[in-house]
Amino acid sequence: MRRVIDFFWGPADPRSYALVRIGLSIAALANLIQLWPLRHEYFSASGMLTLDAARTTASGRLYGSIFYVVTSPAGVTAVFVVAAAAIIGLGAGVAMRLCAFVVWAWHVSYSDRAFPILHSWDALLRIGSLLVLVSPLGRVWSVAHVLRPRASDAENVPIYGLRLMRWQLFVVYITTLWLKLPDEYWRNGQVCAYFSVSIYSTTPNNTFFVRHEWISALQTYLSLAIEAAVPWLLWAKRTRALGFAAGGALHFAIAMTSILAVFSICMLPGYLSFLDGDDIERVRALARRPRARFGPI
Amino acid sequence: MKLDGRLATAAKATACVLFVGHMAATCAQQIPERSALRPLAVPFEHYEELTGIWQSWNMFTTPPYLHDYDVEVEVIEPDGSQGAVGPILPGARRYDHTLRAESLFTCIVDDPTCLFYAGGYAVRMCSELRGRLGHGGQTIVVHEYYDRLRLLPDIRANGVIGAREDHRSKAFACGG
Repeated sequence: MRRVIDFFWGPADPRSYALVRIGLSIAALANLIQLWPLRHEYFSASGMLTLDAARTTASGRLYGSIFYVVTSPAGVTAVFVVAAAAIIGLGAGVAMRLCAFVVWAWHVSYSDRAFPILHSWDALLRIGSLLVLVSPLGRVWSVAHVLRPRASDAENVPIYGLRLMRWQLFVVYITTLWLKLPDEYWRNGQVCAYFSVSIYSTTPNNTFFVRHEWISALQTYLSLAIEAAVPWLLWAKRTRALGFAAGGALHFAIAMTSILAVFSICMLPGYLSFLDGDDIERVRALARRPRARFGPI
Repeated sequence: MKLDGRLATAAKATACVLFVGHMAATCAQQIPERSALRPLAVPFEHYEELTGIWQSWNMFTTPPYLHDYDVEVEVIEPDGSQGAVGPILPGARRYDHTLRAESLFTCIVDDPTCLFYAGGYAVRMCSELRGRLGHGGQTIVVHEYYDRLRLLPDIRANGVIGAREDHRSKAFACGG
């Protein structure tokens, strides 16, 4: 039992939590900005999704949503504004626990109101915001710390939140790999060629990857290999940088070649949860090096 | 407030049980519906609903199959005359080519689990038409116009990427 307690309650650098909190805030804001022009279409009484349909779908389940009671266009806009304020507050580090609660409630609310329009990144945001809500919030990097610093801000905090976030990233990659591997197009290496001319591509009329199918095959197999390897690479301290490089390349490529950039952004908090204090110091040292090189002599 | 040592350990141990339960809930819902182990997921369902950790990672487990996608609503008046309006409400605006709208319309036209949403959408569209035209009684049909991706060798053969298809919902009758 002692080992289990240590696994979840061992020490963690509070800056890791701060990074995850800020990463989640960036992702949540990107998603909210995307949803903003669509708010009346999907969340108000004059939109396309009737409340009756949502309630019938949720019948017998423990789903809940502020949009079950707020249905007017002005009310929906007000909920969006409050959510945006909470997301910014969470990232900046102002009234963090309250903001974390509102951000979690926001993600659960819009998801439970509009099931048919959801995508995988909505789940990433819902889960990420729950884990941030129940975790230490990394006050050490926050406006609250700048205004009212406490000696305890820099002290180690329990690691359980980071453990749960890392576990979630494992489940994402391992599950998607499990589901993709039996598909013949993934096995043939043709998925990237089809993707490149699909509605999800930024250049659906460009047949380059169709004409050069061998490049598609390399891309397809490489993306499978990365999805299989990334959680393990991130887990091990020695290979963590490689994990970041491989996963970063995969999601950067997705963001650049598809209309799913927000998905890539929503993967960010999960990755950041793997950074420990040593990693953060290493990155800070790297960031300082060019300044030292080009600074005054 | 500092907890007494043994009490703190007990509290941490209890929390560990919750953490392990959360991890198990994350995994259990990934068990396929037809697996003999699927009943293991049932005890976690209400926890998933309440906390919002319900999830599915089946994105792009098959390749995408559409090159182009558009939606229109066909309106048939009681006298048999026909017209078309955009599907986006409010306003019966043109299809906006967003991912959210594509998800919605593929759901309400193609997916039986979206039956209630399809019915609700039809009610709203009828209401929009009544407000716009001053009368009811129309019949509406949602049309998905899409270019279904052809096989790679076929695309290479003549450069045509997709084959045009018109996929329609069932007809919904607007009340008078």
